[in-house]
Amino acid sequence: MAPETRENTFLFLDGAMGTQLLAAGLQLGQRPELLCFTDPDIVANVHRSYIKAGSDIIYTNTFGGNAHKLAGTGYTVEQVVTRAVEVAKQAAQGTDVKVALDIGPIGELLEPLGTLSFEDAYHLFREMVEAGAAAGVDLVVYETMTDLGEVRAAVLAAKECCDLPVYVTMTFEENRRTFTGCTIPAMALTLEGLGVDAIGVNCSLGPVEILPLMQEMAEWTDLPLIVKPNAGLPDPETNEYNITPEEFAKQMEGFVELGVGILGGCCGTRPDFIEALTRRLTGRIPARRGGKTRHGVCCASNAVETNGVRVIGERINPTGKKRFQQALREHDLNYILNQGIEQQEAGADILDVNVGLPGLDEPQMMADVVKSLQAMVPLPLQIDSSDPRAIEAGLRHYHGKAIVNSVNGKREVLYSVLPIVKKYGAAVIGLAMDSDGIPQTAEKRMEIARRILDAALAHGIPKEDVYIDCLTLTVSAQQAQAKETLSAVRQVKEELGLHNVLGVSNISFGLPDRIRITENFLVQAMQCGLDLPIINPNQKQIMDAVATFKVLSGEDRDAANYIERFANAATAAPSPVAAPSGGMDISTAIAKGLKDECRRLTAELLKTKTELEVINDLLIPALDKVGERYERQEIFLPQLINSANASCEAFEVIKQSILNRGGESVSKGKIVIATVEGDIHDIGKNIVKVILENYGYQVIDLGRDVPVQKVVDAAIENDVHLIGLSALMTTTVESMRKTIEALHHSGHPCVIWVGGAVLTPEYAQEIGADYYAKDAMETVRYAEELFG
Amino acid sequence: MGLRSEQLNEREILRYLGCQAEVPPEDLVQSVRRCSREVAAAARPKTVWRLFPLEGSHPAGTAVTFDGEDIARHLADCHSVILMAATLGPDIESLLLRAQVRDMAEALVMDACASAAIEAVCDELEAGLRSEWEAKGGYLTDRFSPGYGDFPITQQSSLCGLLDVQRRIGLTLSASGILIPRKSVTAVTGIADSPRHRRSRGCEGCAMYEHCQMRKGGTPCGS
Repeated sequence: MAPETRENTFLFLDGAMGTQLLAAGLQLGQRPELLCFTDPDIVANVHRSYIKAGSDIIYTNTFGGNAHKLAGTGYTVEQVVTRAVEVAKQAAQGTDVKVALDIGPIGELLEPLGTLSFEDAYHLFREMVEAGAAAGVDLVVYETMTDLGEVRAAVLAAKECCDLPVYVTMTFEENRRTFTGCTIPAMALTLEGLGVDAIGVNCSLGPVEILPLMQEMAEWTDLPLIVKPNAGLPDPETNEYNITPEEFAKQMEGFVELGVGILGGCCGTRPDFIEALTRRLTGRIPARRGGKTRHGVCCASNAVETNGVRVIGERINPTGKKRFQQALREHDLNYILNQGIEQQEAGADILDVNVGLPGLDEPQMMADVVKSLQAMVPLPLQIDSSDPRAIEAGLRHYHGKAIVNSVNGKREVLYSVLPIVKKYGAAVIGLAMDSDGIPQTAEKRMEIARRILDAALAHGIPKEDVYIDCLTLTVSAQQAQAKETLSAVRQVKEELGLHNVLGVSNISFGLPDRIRITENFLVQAMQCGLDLPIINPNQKQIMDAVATFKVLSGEDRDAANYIERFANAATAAPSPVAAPSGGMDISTAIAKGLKDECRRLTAELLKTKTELEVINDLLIPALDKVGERYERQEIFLPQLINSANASCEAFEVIKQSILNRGGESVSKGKIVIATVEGDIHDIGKNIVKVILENYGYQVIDLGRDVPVQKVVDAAIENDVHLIGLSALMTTTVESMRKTIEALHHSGHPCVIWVGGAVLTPEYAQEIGADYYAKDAMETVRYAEELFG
Repeated sequence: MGLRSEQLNEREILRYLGCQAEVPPEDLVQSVRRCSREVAAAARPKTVWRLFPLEGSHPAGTAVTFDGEDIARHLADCHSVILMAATLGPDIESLLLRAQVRDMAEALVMDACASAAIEAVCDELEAGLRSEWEAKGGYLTDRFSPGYGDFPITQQSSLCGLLDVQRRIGLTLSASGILIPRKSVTAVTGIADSPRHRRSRGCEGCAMYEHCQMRKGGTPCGS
């Protein structure tokens, strides 16, 4: 039977397990989980002493019992978990005490910062939960977690294989972040969305330091709260904790008033701590909580509160953008990521992500883009697709609380998408339209909005997570509709009390000087209650309008942000006029790494020359000259790359020019490059990519930590016969060898070059490579040899 | 513990980038300074250390043994050993990933600055421990890390275990033995009753081992 989290009573957890086992003779460096086999009495005694001290729930001795940490011990996860549950249940026999399956972090960081995939993490957790459920635990507890992505894998694993309650506690530092940067609001928003039963904080700090963290958490969630602090702070030299059981119990009283109902201890706490705690709180009840006061969406490191105007950046979208479509077809993630970074720097609060293109595997693409974006852009994402599979792929890999864009009033859409939104705990945008199209009146749109809200509520999606898009129509085509949209926005806010989303720029389509219309409409819409405009944040004038509006609406307190944005702009010297480029040729521009010049000069040159002439007669010779100076050590690697980057701008102009006239892209040959499986050192590989691309080769970059088979598949599918592999560690050169073997076994004819710190020409030969490349320039020479 | 950009050794960073010129190019110097500031701002350095008495050349009271002759030689005549780990934290990883998307030239400089930064953090930790023990009449050896000489890189997992690095400083070890966040170090320092001979750390002990142009060109700098 599951433990009840009742409002009017405390649930007491146990104290430290590890501390007790060490005191009983466990050696450092030994796996504590194995004690259940070698010396079960020690573990059982710890359980019993906590039960005697008043614990209502005890944690099994399985903290590190995952397959990754048990590797090489000779025991399986099932054996370890089953045995530990047995020991705990025996200790609890004859009492009402519940047994929680205790699960800590896997011990490896998830990709892309680490190499553990989300799916692997999921399976490692699932294996433990399945074993625990089969052995009869009463609930599952994840504790000492620091990575929200890992927690998500863990929670989904539990939810998808059993019906047991799931508790999650994470470990924060005093700066209110975990080691991986997760914030308290992000944890609360994400885990409440996923349907976890109770959340809180354990380890790292003492009760006094954790109190303000829990105050913040209580603002963001209605879930029952858990606290399991350390016995104060450890002395760095002796590793001893600094408070007594009585002090601990006294400090824990602070949580009672906050309404925290589930209390226990972590490192350094002993049965006497729990005993002091239960004794002190006898006859007390946790204070009633007032309910959460703050709402929003988040990525792991940044929550965006929906209590004012928040800009959703619209640029990650291929509609009507040939260059973006090409990037999608070539799986050029960098191009897409750049769009994300640019919008963040321009002030976007949330990024819309749309990667749908006919003929493309949208779910896969959505997952890839979401994974990469969240590693480097700290903004919540809005998953934008009409394909429920793509929506689910995006949400599954998104380590935060996303927005889904969108559903509409059609029944089949509501019933296929809302269950996914609920499962992953996202917010959702409802378009005020249905199978009859976009209604012409505000009233009709309101009707649909109501229908969408009702359907969302019926699916268990809370009201604050339903946003309505009243739809912008082009004013040059349907002039009367602008007012209808504004009127609907006002009603959604005032009558339904929901947030308004609106794609704004469509309003001005077909008119000259569009930005005037767009800006004016945006301001009017915000006045009516639009708080989540979907706009292009790179348009300064539009962002200025938002900043100005926030002063007049009172959101920008004391106009602080406005002053910061504009005060310096007014007094700053006029921006320096671009250096006169008279006389500068493209060769000099490349040598000096001047990107703007390169772009301008290339456009200039294309008026009189073909794309190929510009590439072969001007760009390549200019790059060669730079390469020679690098070899003579007159310039250094960063400068070489700078020149390559500058010529990259020239290539961009050329690509655009070819796309504009509908031509085939220029490529002197295709090359696949990858950092091999298990290795994530990719800076060298990325340098090679930049240089090769600037010599006109099409580089298919598979990224880092690339599975052996993926390299083989990419070579065959793209019909590529030149492969570059990189590895930096002695430990990963082995997977380089395996990749080369697999390529040879496939029978696909190809030439392979390898590079990386530990490689030498001899070593390269030994593992079966055709060439050893000591630097990026050498790869160009091999490419030229092969492609002529 | 914070990190100031002045703590990053500019000449060292330039050397990592293959530039030993008397007067380095101005644009490169500017880029190094810019990146140093960004790296210092994003770094959240964390360190953890623990003292163990030595039994032979193994930390006493633990289930860990050190492999290899070099570590045994390094710890000869020492009565105790300090295990240490340091990391710049995960924000640096994001910064480097981002830089690689935005501008590879800057990313390369940024990577060199981050390498200098983790060295600076280790140097500071080591210097503090050194003076603390010297005051008590103890003398520290140089830092010695898994991967130096025949001290196997796989030994990292036992150092990480003894130091409980994931819980203490948020450091993890990948299945293929890479410390993550990558700008991290684990090391061992012996303590003896008489002054220790300082040795050159050589290429394997250098933060730039990964992509040092000089080493690959066959002309290591010899520091």
